[in-house]
Amino acid sequence: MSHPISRTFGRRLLIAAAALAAFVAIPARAETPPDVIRLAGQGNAAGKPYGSAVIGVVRAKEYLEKEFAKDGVKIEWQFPRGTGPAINEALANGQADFANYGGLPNIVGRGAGLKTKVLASYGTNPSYLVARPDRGVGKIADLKGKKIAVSRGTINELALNRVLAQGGLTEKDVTIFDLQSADQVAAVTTGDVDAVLGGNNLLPLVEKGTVKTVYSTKGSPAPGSLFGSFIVTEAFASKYPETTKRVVKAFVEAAAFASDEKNRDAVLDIWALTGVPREALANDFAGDKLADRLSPLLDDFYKTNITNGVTFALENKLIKTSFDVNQWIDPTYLNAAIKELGVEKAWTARNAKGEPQS
Amino acid sequence: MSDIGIQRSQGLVPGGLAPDITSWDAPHAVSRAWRRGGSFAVTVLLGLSLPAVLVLIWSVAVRQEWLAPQILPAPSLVWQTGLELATSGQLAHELAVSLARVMTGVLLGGLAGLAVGVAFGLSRTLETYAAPTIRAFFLVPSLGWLPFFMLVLGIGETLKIVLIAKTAFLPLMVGVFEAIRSMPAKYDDVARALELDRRARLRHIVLPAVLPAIATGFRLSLSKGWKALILVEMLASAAGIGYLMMWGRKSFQLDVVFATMIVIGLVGWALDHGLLKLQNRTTRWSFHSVR
Repeated sequence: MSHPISRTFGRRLLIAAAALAAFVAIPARAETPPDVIRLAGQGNAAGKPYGSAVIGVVRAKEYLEKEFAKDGVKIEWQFPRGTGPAINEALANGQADFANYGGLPNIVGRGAGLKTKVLASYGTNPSYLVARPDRGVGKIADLKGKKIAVSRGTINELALNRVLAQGGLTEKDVTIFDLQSADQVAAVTTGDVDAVLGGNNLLPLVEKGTVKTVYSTKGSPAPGSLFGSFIVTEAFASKYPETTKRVVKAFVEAAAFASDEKNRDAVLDIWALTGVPREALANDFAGDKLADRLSPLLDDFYKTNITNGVTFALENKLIKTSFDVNQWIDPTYLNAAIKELGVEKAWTARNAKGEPQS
Repeated sequence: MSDIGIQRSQGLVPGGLAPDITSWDAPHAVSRAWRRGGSFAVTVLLGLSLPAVLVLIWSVAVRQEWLAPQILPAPSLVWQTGLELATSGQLAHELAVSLARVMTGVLLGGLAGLAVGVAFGLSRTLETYAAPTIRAFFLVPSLGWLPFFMLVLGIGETLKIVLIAKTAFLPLMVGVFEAIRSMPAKYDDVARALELDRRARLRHIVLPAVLPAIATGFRLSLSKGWKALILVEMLASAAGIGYLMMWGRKSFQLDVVFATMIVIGLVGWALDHGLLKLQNRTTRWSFHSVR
């Protein structure tokens, strides 16, 4: 009490020192993270709000929830039934910060002027072209004049184009019914359509004998595979670069976990949460190296897929102007995360043809 | 009094589905406007003033970026897209598909509705037994029937025709039924005085009396059928104007969506307007008789 001035001064000094210490100790936390991080993923056939591939693992194993728990950041997930096209709408409305969805809607969204950045590849999945056995479709060329169900505006539309091209056909040679996954199953079961192009959600139908597989890109990097990206809005990335870095780190951590063969059973269990039967998923991944399917690398294989997608979108007037793929992709976050986690060996970069790069 | 009653009933008859003042007031205004070219131009201009204001607000909204440009495209872009769709022939093709569907559906459903409406109107027994069920059946909206119809009928043309027919059925059934029931007793007296048999009574008394209701009901059926068609084309189709709109949405081209929305609105209006003209022609007798 006798030296009030010096005591106050001492306290101030202490506070200043503490603040300085905090600042020096965790410089990475200089940025105040947002109250909520909103992520959107492509929806699923059965309509369950869980994801497949890496984003499904991020969600189920709560990598983000754990990473941001100490900051009190809420993680919000949405898996709209309208899949990619609906995610573009959510991004345009400012209802999502990060999104994980198919290459074609990715490109269409960017082409329409959505300000996004590609952070990572979401991997590649085989597409399946299945047909009713009674419709005499033994090979792709037999599809001429047939009715095919596909979910338009999604990566499946691009895959269908590529698959038809393998048999020397174009969209004009067939009648395309734009149906969502659940309706596709109903339509091919009742015989309203002759064939369906989609992902592993069609495999239960093959097992039941309702349809047989006419063509699949499984086991090869053939054109017509389903590819896509994990993206962030430019607004979010420039406002919260540190948070973006941490989100990508969580994504890469999940990708590394899911790419590890000893976790195969665990990730199949996780993906089965989407409502696609576990056997179908196991068949879909059987014989494939997980690391090949789930590689987040923005390698030449990914870039070639995207570039071809841009050409397709232009030709089909899905976008009006082209854009530079290299300007859109930002590999800095991904590379930093791979280095930080020490998972350089988890994946091998591929060349444009999908072969491992030496 | 009863004659005036008929004239009024023309607008009010369709079971309160859409009390439509213009349907009995318009003929005078329209024919007068036709006679004098100047006032016709004024009518057109007045009719276009609201759309003009809307386009103005739209332009301002785009310029101020009240909504993301991906969601609210500029009017000029929509116009350009509309022109492209029209000149490429795609619009005409899709419209032809849609119009063929709606005509078939409305004709089938409308005729069925007409027959059932007349039957209920003439027979109280039939009405007591069947009317509640039929009404309940048809009051479940088309969207509610869709999943069931899709499973039973598939997603082919049958689904669309049946759904439109189902939608077109009710307005005609109710309209005709109500018209018969509200027919002035005087007409029955005439029929009795002339000792008309059942058939002659139907031909000379009932049909002319319910003609305005048929015309109104048909108009309602068509506009409702048109809306139902767009709905079903959006959900399960490989062609048609609704499909084009859905494709626009899926490919994130809201300019296509807006252009098709405008076309859908204009075609719907043109159908309604055309039928209104037809309605005025077929029911002119009721106005002459008043004068």
